[in-house]
Amino acid sequence: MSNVIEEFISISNVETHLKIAGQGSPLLYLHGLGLSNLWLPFHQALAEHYKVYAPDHPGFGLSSNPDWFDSMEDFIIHYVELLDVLNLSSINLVGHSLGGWIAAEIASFFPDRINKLVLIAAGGLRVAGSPITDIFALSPELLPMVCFEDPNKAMVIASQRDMSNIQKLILQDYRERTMAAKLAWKLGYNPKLARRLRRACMPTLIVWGKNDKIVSTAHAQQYCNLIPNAKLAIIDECGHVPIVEQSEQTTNLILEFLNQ
Amino acid sequence: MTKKMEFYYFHLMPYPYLPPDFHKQYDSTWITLPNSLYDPEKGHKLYNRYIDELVKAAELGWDGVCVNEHHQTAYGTMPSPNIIAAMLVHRIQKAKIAIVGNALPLHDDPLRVAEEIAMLDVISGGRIISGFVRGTGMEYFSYNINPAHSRDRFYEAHDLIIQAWTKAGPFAFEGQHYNYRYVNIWPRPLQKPHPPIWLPGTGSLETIEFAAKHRYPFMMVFSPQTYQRKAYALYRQIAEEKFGYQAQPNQLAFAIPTFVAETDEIARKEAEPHVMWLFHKGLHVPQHFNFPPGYVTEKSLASLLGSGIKPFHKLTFQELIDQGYIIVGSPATVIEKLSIYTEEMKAGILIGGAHAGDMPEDLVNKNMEMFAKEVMPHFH
Repeated sequence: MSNVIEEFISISNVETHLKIAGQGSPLLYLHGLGLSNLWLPFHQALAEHYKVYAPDHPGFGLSSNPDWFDSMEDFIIHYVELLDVLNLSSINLVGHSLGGWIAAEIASFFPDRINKLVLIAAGGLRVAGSPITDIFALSPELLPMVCFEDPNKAMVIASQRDMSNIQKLILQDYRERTMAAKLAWKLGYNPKLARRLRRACMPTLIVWGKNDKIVSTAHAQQYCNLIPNAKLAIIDECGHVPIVEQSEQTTNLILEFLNQ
Repeated sequence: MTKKMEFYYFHLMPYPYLPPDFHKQYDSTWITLPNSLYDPEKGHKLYNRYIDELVKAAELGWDGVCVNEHHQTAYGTMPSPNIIAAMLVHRIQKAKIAIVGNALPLHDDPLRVAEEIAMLDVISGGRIISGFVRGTGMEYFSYNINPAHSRDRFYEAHDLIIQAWTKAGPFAFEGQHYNYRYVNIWPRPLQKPHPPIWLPGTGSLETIEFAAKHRYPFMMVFSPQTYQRKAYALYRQIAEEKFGYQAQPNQLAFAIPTFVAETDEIARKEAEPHVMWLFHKGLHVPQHFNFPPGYVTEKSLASLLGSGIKPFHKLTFQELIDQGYIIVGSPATVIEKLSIYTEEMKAGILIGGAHAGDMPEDLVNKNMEMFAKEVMPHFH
C-alpha cells in the first residue's frame, strides 16, 4: 500500500497543493469540480502501479487562488510548468470532467509531453443537440441527483470532508465554483478544441458513464471521433462520476489501457 | 430651506398576472419562468397605466420618479429603463427622472449607457439622476455574463462612463474588460460635472466604501432596518475616517415600499395581498440563482451565511413590517416611522411609491393621493 505524501510546489508564484503516491511511471491526475483534495480508492488503485501526482487546481482545494488566474491558457501553462518543475519530460495524463477538459487542451497543445491520455466524462466540446448541463443553475440539493445514477454513492466524497464546519465547506465550494465560472460560465466548452484535437495523437482512452446527465455520451463519441488514436469505454449503471460510482471498473479499464 | 426628506416615486412595473398555482408549478419568478405566461395585450395596458402613475406622482409633488433595469422576470418588466425614462422626460416637466439604475456589468458596451444618459440629460434640461447597479445574481444567468467578473466590470464601466462624460474626447480607454480606441460621445451631458450618480445596494462593505469614496448617495434596497442602520453608520465612518468628510442626509437613501390609509388597520388590510405578491411571488427565487459564483466576495457570503437573514419569499407580512422592510399605516404611523429616518438615522432620501405587486389602479391612486396630501408636507 503506497503512502500518500502531500506537498506544496510554487509554480510562477501559484502555491500548488499535490498528493503524491506510488512508484513507477509518472501519472498526472486532474480532478473535476467538487472533487479537489481527495484521495479515493480510485487514486489508491492507480498508485499501486504508477507514481500518481494529484494536484489541486489553482483556486481549488488547498492551492492558492490568484486573482489573475482566469483562463484555460492559464491552466495549460500552469500544468506544463508543473511538469517542468517536477522534471517530468512525459507522463500519462488522466482527467475527469473539468480536469478532463484541461487534459484534452494540454494534449492538443503539448502532445509530446503525454504518453497516454485518459479522458473521463470530460467537458470541453460542443456537440450540437447535446448541450452540457448548466451546473451553475443546479441547486445544491439537486446536484448529486444529476451527477450520480445512485446519489448514495456521493457519500464516499462526503466521508472525506470535515462536516463539522459546514460554513467553511460552503465557502470552499463557492471559491471553487467561482474559478470554474471564470473558465466555463460564458461558454462551457472551447469552440477551438474540436479542431485542435487532431494534434493529440497519443493512445487515448475515453471513459464515460452510460447515464451521464451532465456531459452526455454523445460527447464521449465526439472525443473518440476527433482524437486520432482513441478508444471508447462506456460504463453501465453509472452517471457523471465513474471514479466514485463505478470505481473498480473504471480503475480496471484505465490500468488495462495504461499497462498495454 | 432644505427639505427634511426628498421623495422619489419608484416603480418596478411588474407583470402581476401569474397563475393561481404559480408556487406549485414554478420554482422561480426569474430566469426560467416561461414567457408564455406573458400576455402582450395585458402588457400594453400595464405599461401605459404604470407610466401614467409615474406622471401622476410628479404632478402630486414627488421630487422625482425612479425606474430600473431587470431582465427576464415578472418582477419588473423594464429591461431597458432608459426607454421608459425617455418617455417620462417628455411627460414630466419639473421632477427629476432617476434611473436606479443601469446594470453596468451586464452590458458589453457601457459606452452606450454613457451616450443614452447624456441624451436624456440634454433633452430633459439636466433632470437625470443616473444610478449604477451590478444587477441581481439572476441577471448573470439571464444575460450570460460571468458573475466572477461582475465587480471588476462594474468599476471599470463606471470609470469609463465618468471619463466619457467629463474628459475632452477623443481619447482612448484601455481596461481589462472594456477597450475603446475612440471615446468621444456626442452629446455630452448637460449637468456639470455630470448627472448625479446614485448607488443602490444591499449594504456590502465594497459598495458602501465605493459610494463614500465618490460621495455618491447610497440607496439601501429592501433590507431590515437593523441592516440599514449598520450600512449608514459604515458610510459615515468610512467618509470621516478614510476620506475626511461628514456624510450628509442627502447621501443616505432608502428604498422602502410605503402604504398609507385612513387607519393602521385599513392600511394593513389594503396593502397585505399586494405586498405579499412583491415578496412572495416577485422575489420567489432559489438561493443559488441569487448568488452565482463570484457575484459576491467570500467575505460578504460568509457574513450573509452568519446573518440568519431569511430569504424574501419566506418573510411574513408581520415580519416585513416589524423588521422595517416596508412601512404601512395611518398617516400618523407613517410619519412616525419615516421620522426615525430623518431624526435618528439622518437619512434624507425616500425611494418609496404607492404601487406594489398586483395592486389595482384605484388603490394605487388612493394611496398615492393620501401620501402626497397627508405625509409629504410633514417633511417639507
